Amino acid sequence: MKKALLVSLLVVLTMGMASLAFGQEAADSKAAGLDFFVMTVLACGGCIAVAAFGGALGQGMSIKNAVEGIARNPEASGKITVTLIIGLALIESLVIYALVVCLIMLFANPATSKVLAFMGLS
Amino acid sequence: MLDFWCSTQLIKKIQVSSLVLCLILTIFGVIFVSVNFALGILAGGIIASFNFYWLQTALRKIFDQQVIFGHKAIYYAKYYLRLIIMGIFLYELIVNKMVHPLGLIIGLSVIVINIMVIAFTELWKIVRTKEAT
Repeated sequence: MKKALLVSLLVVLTMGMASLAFGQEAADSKAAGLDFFVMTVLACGGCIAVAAFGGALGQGMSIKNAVEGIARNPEASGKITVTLIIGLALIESLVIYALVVCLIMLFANPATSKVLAFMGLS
Repeated sequence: MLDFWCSTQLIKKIQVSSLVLCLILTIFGVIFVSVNFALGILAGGIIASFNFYWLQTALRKIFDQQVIFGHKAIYYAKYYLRLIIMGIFLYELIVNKMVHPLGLIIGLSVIVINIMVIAFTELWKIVRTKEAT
């Protein structure tokens, strides 16, 4: 647990440092505009990674317990499967939300046109 | 009460009521927001319902003890094929700006909304039964 906390703190710190470095380099508007796109891609990558990790963990645990339950009591297979399906649908919907948010941020970001105008590219 | 939550009727109820909810939300979207928004709800609702149907079909076959392991491999493949197809559909819808993104998110939530509504309805029934006794 402590290791995971340490690793996540290091990741946040590294990303923070990167943003500072980018901020210093962004002398002109084009570089500053480029920062926006770099950060968007980083945020989307992080978002989908965390969502996939959490979803996989949740689905894996629920399937493990369902399989164990069915192995112990094969007659309850139908009942366990129905509950499992509902649980998996709920978990999966969260990952789908993350995917949709990432796609919106990457391809339909409302700020993109403003940033392009700021960079003088539109 | 627990039997209802473990029955196959529940899955059918969720599937049917999701489509009904999706249609209702689409009509509300057309009337109160815009056609693009309503299209988002409709597309999201259809994708979510189709996804749920495919998920439950694949899982039933995978957990079915009658089906032999060699045949189960097909269903494992289909499980991932479903995710790829859904990803492609969502990508096309968002990148080509065919629908409103917020409508799409609402449409994708119909299954979750339905499960929540059914859960609260059943909880309400339990509370009412306890109060009566």
